[in-house]
Amino acid sequence: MADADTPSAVHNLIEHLVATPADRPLIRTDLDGLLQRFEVPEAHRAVMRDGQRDELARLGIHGNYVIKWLIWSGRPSMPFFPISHYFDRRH
Amino acid sequence: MGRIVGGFAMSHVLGAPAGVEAQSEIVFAGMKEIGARVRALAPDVLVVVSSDHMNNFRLGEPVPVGVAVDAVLTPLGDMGLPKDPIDGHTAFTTGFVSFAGAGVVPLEGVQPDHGIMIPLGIVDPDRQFSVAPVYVNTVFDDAPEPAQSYALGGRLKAYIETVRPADERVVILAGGGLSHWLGVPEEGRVNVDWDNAFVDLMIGGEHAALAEMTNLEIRQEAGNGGLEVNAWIVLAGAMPGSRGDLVFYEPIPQWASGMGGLALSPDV
Repeated sequence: MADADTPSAVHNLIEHLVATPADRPLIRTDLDGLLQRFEVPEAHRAVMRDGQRDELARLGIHGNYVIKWLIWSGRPSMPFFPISHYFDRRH
Repeated sequence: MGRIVGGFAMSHVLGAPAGVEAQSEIVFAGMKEIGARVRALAPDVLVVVSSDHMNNFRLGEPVPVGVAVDAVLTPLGDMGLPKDPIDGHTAFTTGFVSFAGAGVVPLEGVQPDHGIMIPLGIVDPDRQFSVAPVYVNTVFDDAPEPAQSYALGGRLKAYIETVRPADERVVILAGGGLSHWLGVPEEGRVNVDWDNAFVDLMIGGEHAALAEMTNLEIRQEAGNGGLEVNAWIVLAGAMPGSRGDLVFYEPIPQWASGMGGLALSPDV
């Protein structure tokens, strides 16, 4: 089971990264500092670092935030594609 | 009085074409078909009802229903979507907030994400329309229930028909759905039977039945992302009893979505 405050700590972290895109590279360059700053419980930091969708979901993290975290961490659950594949053919 | 001259709904995502080339082209062609039909109606106002993906809202400050009231809106640009500005119809949006009353919040500074911008970007690639973005955010607990969404559509209809200028032509475009599970173990599941049944109610004009649904049953049968169909139910509430046609439907587990689009006609 997740600690009661794990989802809220992670939600605060992700909402900060939504509002401050310039800090998103910290996921790769200073993840420990980022998790410490937002007081993510130590027991769940490994999941934040390496966990996949289902492990993150089990922590109680909102589904939309699970997706954002996985994308920013470079392990998206669905493959990237250029939107221009469609949008260049709209007319 | 103004008039609702057409209503449309479509999924508000696209995905990688690899492995689903044929299906992706059917979906894209269907979305473009809806775009062509909207443009042929030459609306004075295009109301886009959709949901945000926690890009403009925070869990601690839930905004289940809001209307973006800025005169110019700059898209967020998520998924690499174009950031060309949108012409917001301020007179329409501010008037609707006042008319709708409690529970409908005016929003400033919204940067629409793909929830708005995939449907709008395909329907209006040249940014020719004046747009009224209405958010029915189904990502919060408690999200608006179908009965509330249906009632919101009724208020939108009443506003258009009693407050807006004579002969103003309004098209409503709803975005989101159909069944999908997002960021959870069930991601990739699509409930085709549920999607078909929901679409049948929409295009069959059996809209009162939609208002009797609950978010609990939608979440169970169509997933956490399936709650986005509340935007479609707003459309139904604004055009009660109107029949229509299914423009496209493809279940695409690789995109984690039942992908659909339909049109409602006010004359049928």
